[in-house]
Amino acid sequence: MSAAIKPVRPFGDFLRVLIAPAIWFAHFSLVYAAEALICIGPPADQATMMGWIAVLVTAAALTGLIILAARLLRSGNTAPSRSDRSEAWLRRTSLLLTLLSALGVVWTTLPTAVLPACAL
Amino acid sequence: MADATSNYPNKLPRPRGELAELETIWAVPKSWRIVTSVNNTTIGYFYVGTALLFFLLAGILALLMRLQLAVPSNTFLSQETYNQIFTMHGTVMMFLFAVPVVEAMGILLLPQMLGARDQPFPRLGAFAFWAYFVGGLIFFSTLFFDLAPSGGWFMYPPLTSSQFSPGMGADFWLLGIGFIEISAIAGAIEIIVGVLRTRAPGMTLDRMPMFAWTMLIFAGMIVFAFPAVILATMLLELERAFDWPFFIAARGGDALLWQHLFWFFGHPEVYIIFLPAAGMVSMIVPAMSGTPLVGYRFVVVALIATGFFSFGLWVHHMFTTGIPALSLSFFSAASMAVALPSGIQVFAWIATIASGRLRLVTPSLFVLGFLFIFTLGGLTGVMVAMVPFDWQVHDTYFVVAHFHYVLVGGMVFPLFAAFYYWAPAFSRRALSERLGRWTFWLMFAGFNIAFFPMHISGLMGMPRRVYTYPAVMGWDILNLISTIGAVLFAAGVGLFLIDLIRNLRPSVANAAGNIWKAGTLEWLPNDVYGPRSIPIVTSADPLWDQPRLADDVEAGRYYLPGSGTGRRETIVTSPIEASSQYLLRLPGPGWTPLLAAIFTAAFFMLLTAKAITLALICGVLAVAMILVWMWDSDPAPHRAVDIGGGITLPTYASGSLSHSWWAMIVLLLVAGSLYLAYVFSYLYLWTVSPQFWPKPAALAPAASPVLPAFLLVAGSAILVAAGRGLPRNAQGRRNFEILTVLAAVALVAALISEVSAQWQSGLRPETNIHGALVAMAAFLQAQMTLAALVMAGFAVARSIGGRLDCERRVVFDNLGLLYHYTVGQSLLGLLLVHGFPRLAA
Repeated sequence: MSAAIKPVRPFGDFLRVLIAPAIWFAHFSLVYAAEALICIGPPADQATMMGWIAVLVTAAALTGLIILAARLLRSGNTAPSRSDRSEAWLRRTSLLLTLLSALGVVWTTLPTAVLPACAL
Repeated sequence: MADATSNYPNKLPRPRGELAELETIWAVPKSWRIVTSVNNTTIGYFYVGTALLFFLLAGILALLMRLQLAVPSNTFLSQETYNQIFTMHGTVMMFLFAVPVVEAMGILLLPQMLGARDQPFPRLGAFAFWAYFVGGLIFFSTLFFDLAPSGGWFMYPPLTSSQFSPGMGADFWLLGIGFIEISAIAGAIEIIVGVLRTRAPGMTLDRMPMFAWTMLIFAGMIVFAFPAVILATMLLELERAFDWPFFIAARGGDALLWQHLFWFFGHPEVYIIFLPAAGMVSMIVPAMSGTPLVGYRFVVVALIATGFFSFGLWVHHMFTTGIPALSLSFFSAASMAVALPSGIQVFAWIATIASGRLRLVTPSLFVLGFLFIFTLGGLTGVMVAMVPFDWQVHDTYFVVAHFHYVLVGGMVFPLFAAFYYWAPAFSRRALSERLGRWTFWLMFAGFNIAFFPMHISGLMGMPRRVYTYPAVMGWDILNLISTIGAVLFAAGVGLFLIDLIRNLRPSVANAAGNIWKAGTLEWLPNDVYGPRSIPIVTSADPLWDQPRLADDVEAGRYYLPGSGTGRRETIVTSPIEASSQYLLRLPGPGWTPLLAAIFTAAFFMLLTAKAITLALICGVLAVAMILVWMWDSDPAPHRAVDIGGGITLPTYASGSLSHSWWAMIVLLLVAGSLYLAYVFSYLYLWTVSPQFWPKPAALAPAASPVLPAFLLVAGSAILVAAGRGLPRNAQGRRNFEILTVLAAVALVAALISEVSAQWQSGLRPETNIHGALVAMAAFLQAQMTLAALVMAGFAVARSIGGRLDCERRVVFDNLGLLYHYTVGQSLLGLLLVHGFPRLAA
């Protein structure tokens, strides 16, 4: 046991775990808000606009998640030393959440492929 | 460390008198003075006991309802009484039992489980409890004076508007619940900071007990979910009291806004209740199976994912409100997706049971009952997540059956498992195994007999909230069966009470002890100050991996075996690795939390009764009590303390190292969430009634926000300058005080400038929704300005009293956070109310 007080890992390292589910939530909020706004516009453009927005927002969210996963995998290539146990744990937890969030993004977007925008 | 017996932080024998001093410092006040206690065990006992009291009261209301519905055309209760009873049953169960009991368990268990001496803010914890206790009792007593609300636990307008619900019932709900939410948020702040900053050294995040994980996520969800309903209650109360038309369609409001705000809180609320219960199960299952939890990381992932996904489900309570099908499908998809993380947890528990050998004792029975009932509730949850099915069963007894399977199965059964499981850690005697088995079977059978038939009566078309029904509907037999089941369930609860009376003898120092041979720290020999010495944690189940740990901790071999400063104290550690950072000195017993809670309750209740002057006096007294307790809560730095193992800890920390800074950040997240809920409301109502937004010519002049914006930014700059010149001597002190007062004046001037510009433009809040929303922005700005003003005054007073300087600066750091946040929120408000109408036009 060390007698000195060691420098500590910043709390931001923990907050990074939340990035992937936050991306899912942002995606979810954007597609929902987009439909609400599109539906007060001219009916002729509604379906096309919703389709494009869904594609763009989903592509952006998935790109963000893929970049996140790639960074996590790359930082994991160097085997963690014993003192980095916490970091390895946080990284693997983040990876699992990234995977789950990606599933959530795809699953939430699916209805836009089969349902018309603004129909009651 | 487990085998390093020669390398303990402290050597034996310990100095004579060390333990006696610890016991004296942490002594619980005797007799009636116990109400001044702030220690987590005393407050925890009170808290759990009060929550159980409300569970019983709400349960009696449920029995009254079941008696009324047992036979058709019954006249046992009148329609209005029945309406009040079902409203109070739901409200009390959700707001006065389910959330508080979870916080209560957190306050009771977490310090011991984390190896801390107490919560980081004992007075805040005491305030949270007393606020809940006093406010809850007053709120419940409205039933006896025919003043209880009757609009259902979710209080939908327009039914609850002043037009359709005159009288004070709805006001009691709105202000009473608002008050209890303050208590919940205070508890959440305590829990977040406690879990992140007071864990025993070595208890890294991956070694943290699963209950602590769930409480952390629970508290985080409260921070983001509760502000939405706080805003909703503010809007409805302002509409009822001052005719600001937020929910009145004729003037541009929309009743659906209430549903959006309420369910943005209400759906996460289900998980707010469920996750800690799942945490309890994740503690009980490994202990009873004698093996570590299978898939620890997967369970943590599931908890975090559930926390996030639960915020994407709120519209699934609104499938019948005419929202476009595609929007419904987003929420339908999210509602199904949340089953995935929930399923991960269920499989982890089953795998743990399979990998060990489950002892079939009472806690295990309740856990198995939970798995059975909650899984059924989850399955009907997936059914109602499908929009067409929900259209058929919405507002029928099918939904009543579904949410009782989820809530009672997912929360009450784990809670009873927890009572039986943890009783030996907090009572001289364990609860009776024989009575426990009877309790379980009566509750399990009673629950299923009561609620399973409701699926069928719901499918047969029986609507919710009807006080009676004619015999020709064919619902009578099913309702009679449900009533018999409810009586059986109540008999089980009654038996549990008998067990409590016979066997529960609250004590931490002489508790029955680790009869389950569990592996986590709350099973160490504890006292009101937690363990004698603070252990070094090397695994998720330290008592299993370090067989001598209990003896060594009790002997005082680990950190801080006595008091380093002659006061109550606990070790503050870093949030990820739990490395020791500083020694936090904690306050002892005092009257201020109790008095602050009483005056806060009086403020809200007198406001409801329209006794404005008296209410304001009580409000001022409540703030005064809080300031009195704050006066001593930032003691001057003390010499560094050797806690053992060569570690010497400072006794003071400021900036982001300070636990107090963390609490302020969490509080600001609450304020930010509330303001975002307001921004959502503003934009939502614009999409509903854009015709009520005036043309740019009718708005306040485009240049009018320049002055308040300048004042806000200047105020921030002045406060930064004040911080740089924090006093080292008398001259510096005077400069600091002048600058802080100037900054406060700038904030007030900005508010006055904005309000007068809007007023001069002819804007009136009661005219239409635009006016009401602009006034609401000013109201929220005024609220934060007032808070910053009080805090600035407090900082100046401390400076004058010689209690604030460049080293002892926590109060100023917190003022800075609050001030700059207020400036940010106010600037966003100016941008919204001046910029958006011009942009939209």
